[in-house]
Amino acid sequence: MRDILIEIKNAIIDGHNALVKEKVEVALNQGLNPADILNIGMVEAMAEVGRRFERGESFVPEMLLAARAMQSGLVILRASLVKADFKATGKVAIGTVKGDLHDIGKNLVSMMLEGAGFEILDLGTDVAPEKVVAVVKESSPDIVALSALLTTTMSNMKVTIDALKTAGLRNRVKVIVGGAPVTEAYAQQIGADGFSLNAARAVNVAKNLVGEG
Amino acid sequence: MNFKDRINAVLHHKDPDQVPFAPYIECFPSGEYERMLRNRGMGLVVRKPTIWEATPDVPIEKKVEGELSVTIYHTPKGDVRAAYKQHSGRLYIDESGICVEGLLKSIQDYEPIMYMIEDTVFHVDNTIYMDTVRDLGGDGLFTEYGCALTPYGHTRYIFGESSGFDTWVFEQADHPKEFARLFDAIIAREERRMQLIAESPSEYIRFGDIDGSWGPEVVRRYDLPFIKKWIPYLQSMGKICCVHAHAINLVFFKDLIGEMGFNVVEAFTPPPVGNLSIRDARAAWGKDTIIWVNFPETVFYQGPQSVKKYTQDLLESDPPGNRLVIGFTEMGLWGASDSETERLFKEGILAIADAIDEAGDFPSSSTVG
Repeated sequence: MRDILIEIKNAIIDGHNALVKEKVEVALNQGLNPADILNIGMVEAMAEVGRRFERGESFVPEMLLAARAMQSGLVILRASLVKADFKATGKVAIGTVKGDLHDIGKNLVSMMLEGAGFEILDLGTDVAPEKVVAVVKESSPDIVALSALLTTTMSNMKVTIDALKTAGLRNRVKVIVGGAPVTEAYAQQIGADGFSLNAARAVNVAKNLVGEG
Repeated sequence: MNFKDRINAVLHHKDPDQVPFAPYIECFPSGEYERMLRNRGMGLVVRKPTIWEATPDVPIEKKVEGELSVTIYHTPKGDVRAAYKQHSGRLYIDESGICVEGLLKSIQDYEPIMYMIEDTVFHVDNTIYMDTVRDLGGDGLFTEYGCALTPYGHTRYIFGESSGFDTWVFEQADHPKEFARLFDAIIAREERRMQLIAESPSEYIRFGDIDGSWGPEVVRRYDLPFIKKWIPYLQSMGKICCVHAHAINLVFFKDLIGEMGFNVVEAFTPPPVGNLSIRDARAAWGKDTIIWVNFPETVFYQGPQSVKKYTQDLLESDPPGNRLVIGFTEMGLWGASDSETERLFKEGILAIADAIDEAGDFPSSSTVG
């Protein structure tokens, strides 16, 4: 791996916002392929952050700082990616279910997915099933990702999946669920296509569902 | 034994007749369902502060903006505001609602907030404790809630509750000097609060939490010195100290909790929601630490038979059962606003009571057998 890509990767892992911007500019000036900067420098950095999270070596703050650093690099890189006709890994509509105002988990998953090359439609918190149905109709995401922090609102994941069925849209989109109280057994029980224990694992779950895993 | 005798037996390292079923009262709507559970031995755990804070030199303005209730603090160093969402059904029905906009949003907010912290005076009203204890009689336990956050935890909540986490993280990275000053000011304020807690008549003290969002090394750096200073002192004053360990990744905090020296680890959420089993926690923390379970309500969605079996297994996993409490510290029925969820949760909670009746007697059957 080129030194500059290693430097970008390390700067993201360490959450050095300004340094990532600087290094991405250097990499572009050196004539590196924007897709390589993204995939080898940046996506790999977020994957490493995810692995550290799984091992209990990184926690939410470290993930947030890394994700912010990655975002600052993406701002510099985006125009070059468009020029190079770079395609997103897939499109994910993500939100916290109706009745639930918590957004930390949802935001982390968004950042990790974006860091893995997905296009994100952030629906926010307290998202009604009707809104999810409308977004699937209008924007055709590959995946709907639903988050819940409260045990009493996680039942709205099932309500949302049922609303997609009723609208005849269930076969057009994959649904993944997650959040502190959500378990794999519950995900299966309500007919979700995927479950992730945490933000780090969500990337692999989403990639598998769009055939990129 | 009545409930108070039972929970006190556990807290004072004696033997109860049965594992106490002890949820926070806000986890149940008061009424006939609560009465049914109380007739099955469930107790009432009331958490209230006997100490509250005021900022006498900071005029406060309150107003309503759409669905938000806004509080503006006018300090000599500038204004800061917080916003609260109200009317969210059974959730957050208290007067303040849930904080959706914290006080600290940018670097300009530090000075006014520092002023408020330094301006803080504490008021003590021990009649809150005495009246509540008298009202509860044998039916409940009073939890002192006047020091529910550690100093570092206080910094988090200045940024909001359901929101503001990212700003809190970024401020620590972007303005470390300002954040350090804020933290030092909070430490100084909390030292004053802790002395009052030590002198209060409250016996059972909730002190700080393990959230799991930030790692054990951060807790060690920021909060452990404060905890190591105050927990032994509070214990020397006859207090029973409890940490609210509601993180679902407690495996990573197991050693840290052992170092903290709390009497009670509350909000302990076992698998399948949390990642630390009671058996492993007991092995790490020893036979005298009281493990106060937050029942993982996700199991309710599997139906009452599964709940009963799960509870029996839980009880049998911690013989002889005299340092274990089963409760709800997070949700219970709080927030169950649709009839199907409410039905599942009510049936599930009754199944817990059934399981405690059948397998919760001390000593547990797994010891006897």
